[in-house]
Amino acid sequence: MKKAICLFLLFLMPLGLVFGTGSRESAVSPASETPSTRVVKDMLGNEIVLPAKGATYAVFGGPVSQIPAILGVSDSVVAVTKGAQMMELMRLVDPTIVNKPAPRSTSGNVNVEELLLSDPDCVISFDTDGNIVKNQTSIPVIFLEGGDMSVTIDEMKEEVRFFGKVFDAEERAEVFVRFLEKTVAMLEKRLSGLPADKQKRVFIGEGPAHLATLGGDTFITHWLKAAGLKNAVLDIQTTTEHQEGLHSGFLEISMEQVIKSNPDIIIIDTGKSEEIYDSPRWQGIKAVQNKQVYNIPCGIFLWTRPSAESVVLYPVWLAVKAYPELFSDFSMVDFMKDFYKTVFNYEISDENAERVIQSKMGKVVFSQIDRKP
Amino acid sequence: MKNSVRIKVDSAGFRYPSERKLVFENLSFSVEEGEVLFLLGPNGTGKSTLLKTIMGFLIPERGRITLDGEETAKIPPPLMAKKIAYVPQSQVSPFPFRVKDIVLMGRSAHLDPFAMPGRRDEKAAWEAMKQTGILHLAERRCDSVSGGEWQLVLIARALTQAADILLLDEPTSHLDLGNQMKVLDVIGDLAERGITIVIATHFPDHALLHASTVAIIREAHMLGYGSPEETIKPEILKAAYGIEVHIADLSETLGRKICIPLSPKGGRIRSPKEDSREKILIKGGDYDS
Amino acid sequence: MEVSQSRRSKSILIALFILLILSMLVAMSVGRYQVPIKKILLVLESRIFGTPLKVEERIATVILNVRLPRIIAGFLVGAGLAVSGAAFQAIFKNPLVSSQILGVASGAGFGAAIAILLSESLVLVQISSFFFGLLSVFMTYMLSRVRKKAPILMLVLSGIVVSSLFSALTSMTKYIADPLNKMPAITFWLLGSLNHIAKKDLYVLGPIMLAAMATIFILRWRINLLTMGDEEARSMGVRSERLKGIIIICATLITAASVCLCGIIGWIGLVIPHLGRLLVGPDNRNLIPVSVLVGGSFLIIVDCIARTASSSEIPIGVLTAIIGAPLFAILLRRNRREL
Repeated sequence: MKKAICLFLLFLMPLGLVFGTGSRESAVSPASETPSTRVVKDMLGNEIVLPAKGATYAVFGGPVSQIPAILGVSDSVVAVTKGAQMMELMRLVDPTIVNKPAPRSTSGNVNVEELLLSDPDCVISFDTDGNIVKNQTSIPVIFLEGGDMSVTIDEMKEEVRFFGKVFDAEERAEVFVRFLEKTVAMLEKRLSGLPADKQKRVFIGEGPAHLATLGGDTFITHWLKAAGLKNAVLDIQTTTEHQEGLHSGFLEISMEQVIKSNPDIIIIDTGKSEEIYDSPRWQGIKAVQNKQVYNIPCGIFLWTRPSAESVVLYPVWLAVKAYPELFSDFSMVDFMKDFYKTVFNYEISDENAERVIQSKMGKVVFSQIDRKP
Repeated sequence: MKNSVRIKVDSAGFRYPSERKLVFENLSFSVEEGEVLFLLGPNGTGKSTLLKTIMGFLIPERGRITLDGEETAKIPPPLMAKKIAYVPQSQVSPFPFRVKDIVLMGRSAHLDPFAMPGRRDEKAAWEAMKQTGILHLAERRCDSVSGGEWQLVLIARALTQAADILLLDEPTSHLDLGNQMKVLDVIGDLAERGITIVIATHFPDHALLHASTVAIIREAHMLGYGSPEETIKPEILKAAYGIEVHIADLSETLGRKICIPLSPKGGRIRSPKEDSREKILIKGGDYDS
Repeated sequence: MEVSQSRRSKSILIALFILLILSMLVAMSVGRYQVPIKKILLVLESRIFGTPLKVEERIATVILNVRLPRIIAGFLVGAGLAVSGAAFQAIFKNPLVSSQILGVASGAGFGAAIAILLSESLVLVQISSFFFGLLSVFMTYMLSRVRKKAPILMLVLSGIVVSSLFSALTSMTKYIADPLNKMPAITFWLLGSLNHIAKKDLYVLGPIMLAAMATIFILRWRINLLTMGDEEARSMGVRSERLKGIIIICATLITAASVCLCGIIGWIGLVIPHLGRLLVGPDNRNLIPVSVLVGGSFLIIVDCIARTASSSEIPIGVLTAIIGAPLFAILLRRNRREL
């Protein structure tokens, strides 16, 4: 009997080691500022205490990973997101990102050990990743909200402003917001003469079959509106269900539906437009007849996600493609150079700007950059 | 003299590849046309294996086994099927085919690979079922027939092959008395028609009924080979099976000899309960007492 | 000898044939793009007789280049997978196998995944998936050979090994693929859809599938003999190894082509033959044609639902299970006695 009890206790010991180790308790009482700390409120209303100076951050999320570069606070980011890290232009804009640990690959995939190694003072992320960090570590999480595929242009402004508050770089955030507003106004002015019934309709067709699209309830509808364009599948909601294998917000529709919607312009993300021009299935559609099928550009991040870069450049690029006559005196390259310089403090060469538009900027394949043709 | 040799087993020995022991060794005998050979021997002596090597499923390790002069393992199956039909000890099919469709399968020996069975084949199947007395089972699903009936189905199937040699592996093992006799009658009819037959069986008595030749195998070797008179003798059978048998000559009354196994302990006539103390002992299997 | 059973089988076959034709007609006329029957007929008329088109080009595109190829593909894949399943169940003497048991679907899936990863061309994806589908079965066969024969048990075990290998490789491919583009593309491709069928796909793969199905069809009575086991089949004059080999090659071609056309669609090869057996029994003389008709109709009808039930395409592999399972359950209950 004694032997049995001893053995039993022996087995319990490892458990004690696991549970007995004290972890830093999160503050229960309302956070108070001291001269060496500051309090930040996240989008869910939680209060997080950060060092007043020299705070370090982990930033989880593809499109939002570029915001620290806008705010000029890249140095304080110690853990990044893999996908963003792999983008060629991101590496040019922020060369330091290459060497930083990248614990987060896609939503829900967080390498906790890697994160702990990087030892940030906090993690900025959306709920899925944030909950993982919260449950497995004691690193405070600054929760982001929204940022899904149905954001509006105003919500993009708020997102960057929020980051500005968190990083204590609110002026730089305003630089971006002003540029965005200036751009929207510029587009409005140039498109003012366009009657509503002359607005062209755009179909986003992603994937190898070019049938995965963003519906009327996604951000693209707002981006298109700013460009004087309409979403060809406005009546289809694509954020309500999730097809396995597709990014949220995308749904694959049938070829028939595309033919039915008869778009003026088709945007594809892979393959060549010749595939569509030559395919019997795509005949008769206006975009094919007018040869208006374009590959979507790729810059610091995919433009086909709602990001700071995308909300400024994508509508402009679309408008130029759709209404060249209204932009005859407009240089996309010059506009881009102005944007990257002002907002990202990065001087992009003409050549690289062209590569962005031609969709030739390095994207992610394998775990290395693929310099695509 | 038409009795040409059909099957020749020449110093044949066989062993399964993973085994050390030989299943049978140095067996030599031949089967002439029209002969009815009964293979006797205890369980596990390799009677089935011998049949399979004759069929060409297995290749003898030593010696040769030929059919009409050619090594059986090398004869292409379509040709083989026209010459020999095989009735195995078989499990019922995993799929519920109808009996008549199982019987019909035997016709494949006479059909092109791409052909479907036609009227003639269906007639042959019908005849075979009639001959084995299972016409009434024709429409039944094969998973609802008894083990004995299944045996008759397989025999009928072999009959549709219309081969002139028939190999049967313990065809009467699961049959009731009536069906046993029925099968033996069929075998008798076939023998009379000149079909060459090789049967592996457990019943020496049946050999006395129909065999022209008997081979007794035990522990990889031949214990006896020859006519039924020469081989079905008490000493040989005791050496083979380890028990005594009694052979009685009933040629006067039944027209044949019979062979009955005897239990070593003798038998007892069990009397009804009231008279429980009275038991009449029957002589045990000991000739000398 | 005309027994009621064979007459029953004949009438079932006729009824199923009518069902197939009906489902094709229905599939022609439904879709998210509402096309009145009259216009459909006009399109077909101008196509058959070569007269000029009397309707918009777009409508002609929908009918001839979108719906028609889809229906044909639906028939080929549904019928092909069902027939392959039935044939495999005979070879393996087991009503619970499908043609995927030898690893063709896993191999083809890997072929597609690696091609998606390394290239942008849809054609390359198809070629790669077809090639790897065939390769995987070849590997299974070679692995299972014991002294010039391929015993059933070894085939099954080798099939498991090869399937697992290619599944693991596919997962690996997904892992190293970029999570933004390629990985979702691979996952989505594997899910199965008739949405991507183009006419030119059918020109190459159609004849292959038809030829393979025809071969199995011609051999359907001989396949019955295989269910008795290799030795017994041999005793009845069947060259078991050769026949098994032919069947496996045909079924593999069909399945690889199916995966190539529209990703991995499960359920059909397993269950349609069961349904067929409940209708006409296990005799492959009837079962094979019934599988063709039922499998073809089934997939055509399910595909109609996939492309019309909601505004987005429902992955067909999901639908075949959701619709097939209750259907099968009902039939099982009805025929309890028979089993």
